[in-house]
Amino acid sequence: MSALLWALAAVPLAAGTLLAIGGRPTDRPAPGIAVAAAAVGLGLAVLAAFQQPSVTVPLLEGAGFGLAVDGLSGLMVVTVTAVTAAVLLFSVADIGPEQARSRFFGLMLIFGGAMLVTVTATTLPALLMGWEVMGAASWALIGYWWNDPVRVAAAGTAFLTTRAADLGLYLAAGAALAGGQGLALDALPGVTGPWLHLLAAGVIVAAAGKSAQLPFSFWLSKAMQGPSPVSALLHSATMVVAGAYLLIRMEPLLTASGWGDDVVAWTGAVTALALGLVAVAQRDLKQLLAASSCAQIGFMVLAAGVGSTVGGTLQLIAHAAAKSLAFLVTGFWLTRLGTKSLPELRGAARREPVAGAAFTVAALALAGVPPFSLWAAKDVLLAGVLEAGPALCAAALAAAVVSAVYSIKALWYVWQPAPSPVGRSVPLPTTTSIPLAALAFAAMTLSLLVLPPVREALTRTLGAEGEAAPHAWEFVLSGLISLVTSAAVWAWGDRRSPVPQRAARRAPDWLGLEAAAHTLLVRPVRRLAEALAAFDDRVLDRGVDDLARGTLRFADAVDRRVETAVDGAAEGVAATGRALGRLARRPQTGQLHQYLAQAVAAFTVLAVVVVLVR
Amino acid sequence: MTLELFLVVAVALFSVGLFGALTQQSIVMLMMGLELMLGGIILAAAALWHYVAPASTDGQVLIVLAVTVMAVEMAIGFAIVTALFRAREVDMTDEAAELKG
Repeated sequence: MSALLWALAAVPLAAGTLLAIGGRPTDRPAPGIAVAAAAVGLGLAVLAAFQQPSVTVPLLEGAGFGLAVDGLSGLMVVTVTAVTAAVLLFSVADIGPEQARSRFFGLMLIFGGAMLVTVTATTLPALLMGWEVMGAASWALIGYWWNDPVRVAAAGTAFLTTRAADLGLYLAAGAALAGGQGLALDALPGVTGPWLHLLAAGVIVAAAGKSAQLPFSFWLSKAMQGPSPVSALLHSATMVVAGAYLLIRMEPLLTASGWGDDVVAWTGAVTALALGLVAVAQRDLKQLLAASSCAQIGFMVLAAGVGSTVGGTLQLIAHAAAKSLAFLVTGFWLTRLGTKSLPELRGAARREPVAGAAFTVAALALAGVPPFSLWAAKDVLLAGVLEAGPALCAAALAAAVVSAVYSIKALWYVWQPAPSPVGRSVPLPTTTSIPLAALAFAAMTLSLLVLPPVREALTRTLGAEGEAAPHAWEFVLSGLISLVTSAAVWAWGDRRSPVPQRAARRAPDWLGLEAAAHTLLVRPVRRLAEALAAFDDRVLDRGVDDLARGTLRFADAVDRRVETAVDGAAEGVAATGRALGRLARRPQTGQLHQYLAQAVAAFTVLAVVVVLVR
Repeated sequence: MTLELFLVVAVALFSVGLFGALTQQSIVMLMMGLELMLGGIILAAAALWHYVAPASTDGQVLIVLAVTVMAVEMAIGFAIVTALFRAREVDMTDEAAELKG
């Protein structure tokens, strides 16, 4: 039982570590090993989802290292391993033999393995370990082409942004310890007093950072500098959904804090709407999809906020399939056509029908068009939002409309007739078409999870009885909304957007979030650092220097005054000694007759003295 | 003729010689003093041998040796004095003092 769980985490992590440190020599076998490890991981994940094992090993006093698979994490591990396997299979063709394949595949496996640890963790230490390794792996993957300074800087931005938000989780761990409930995730809602609010705030900040919710969204734009398979994995099943997963998992804590659920719900809703508009404004397909990830994950966060566990989980799984598919096709086009800007991608879908069809499925799913999976998942989620209040519901519906707009906009471009006649297309390699087909199939069929019998089983699995269930009219309504929107967008084409220019000006560069972060955070920190450096240079360093200089000057003075006096005294003693020595040498002439005379004189004096004294 | 008489004469000789050696500034006179002192000592040694151990011959040998050494020493001394005088017209000890260490 527990061996299964250990293996689930250890297989990708161990294989990934070996490949990542193997370097160039293991480049040749790397894809095979990685795909095999991912496939094994998928098998183990399915087994684990049914067996639901759990293990705990003692780690720290009062805080064990616990892993367990329950309903939610069972669905998560299957999603993560399935997407990882598909993406790795696709990477076999995308990351060619001339690249550092071993490093790429190794890091991808570590990335997926860290996500598995994150979603199965039952205690904060285990969660933090997975969380951190995932962040580090994301940095290494976004900066995979390390000899390009732009990409490395982008990786640094992404890493530092998420890392700064991660501090919230450490704050939460500290608050949990202070609250005296231990570090098990289940025990956290039991914390009382002000610690509970700190705990909830820390978790929300960390999750929002990882999930690129407002105001942290801009790092996702930077993360597009990495290879396409990295984006596919990072956006669909790891990293950005880790935050959403954490919020869904911590839903009791959010409710217990009294304000956390509202904050999370509104964060999700606003992100879904605002980043959706950002996505509409993008001219670059990868950037469009990145903004779309923020928006779609906003829906999951919204679901966590309103307590719709089933809706959030379904949205997560369905989005994972659709988004990884969209990114894989984008990466395929980027590799084959050498561009990712929408106007240049005209006709891309017509050249390779398989890729085109796959992208169509992904885009329609993202648009929420029935019968694709996200349409169904979103309705389960919206049923929960409907209970939460009309304002949230309006925001969520507007975000749904926007998601249809950007998805169909991308689709419209790739299906336009090509500006120049293109040559015959080369058939796709098997390793590319299999994952595309599998993910497209998943994006279409995951709607089945919403059918009442399946959904009830799912609800039981997630232990989420009593949540709002969607009505039939909601499905019809949302389907109609997305269809009408899609048709309108398709008809509109690439004419100028009806939005006034002034409102749309900030959207292409992600609402200026990065500039804002620079203004509000980076620059003040730099300014402070410079001020401190100046203080150091001018006060502390100068003080030390002046102390040294003063000491030297004092030493000089001592040398001149005191030392000469002391020296003079010693010299004087020596000179006196020498003078006395000269005096003493004078009678010693070596002339015997002079000695006699001296002796006579001395004795005479002596005799006189004796006579006088007596 | 007793031992005491000889020793008194020897002491007189020695004392006169010592006085000469201590007071004379002329090198020649100083060496005369030394001669007198050695003469006194030789006289005392001979008297002691004659009166104390006349049977053994080593006393005689010792005295002959001393006489010989004295003659050689005086010869060297006068040779040095002569050389000094010829070189620098020096005949007083005060002026021959460069040889001191």
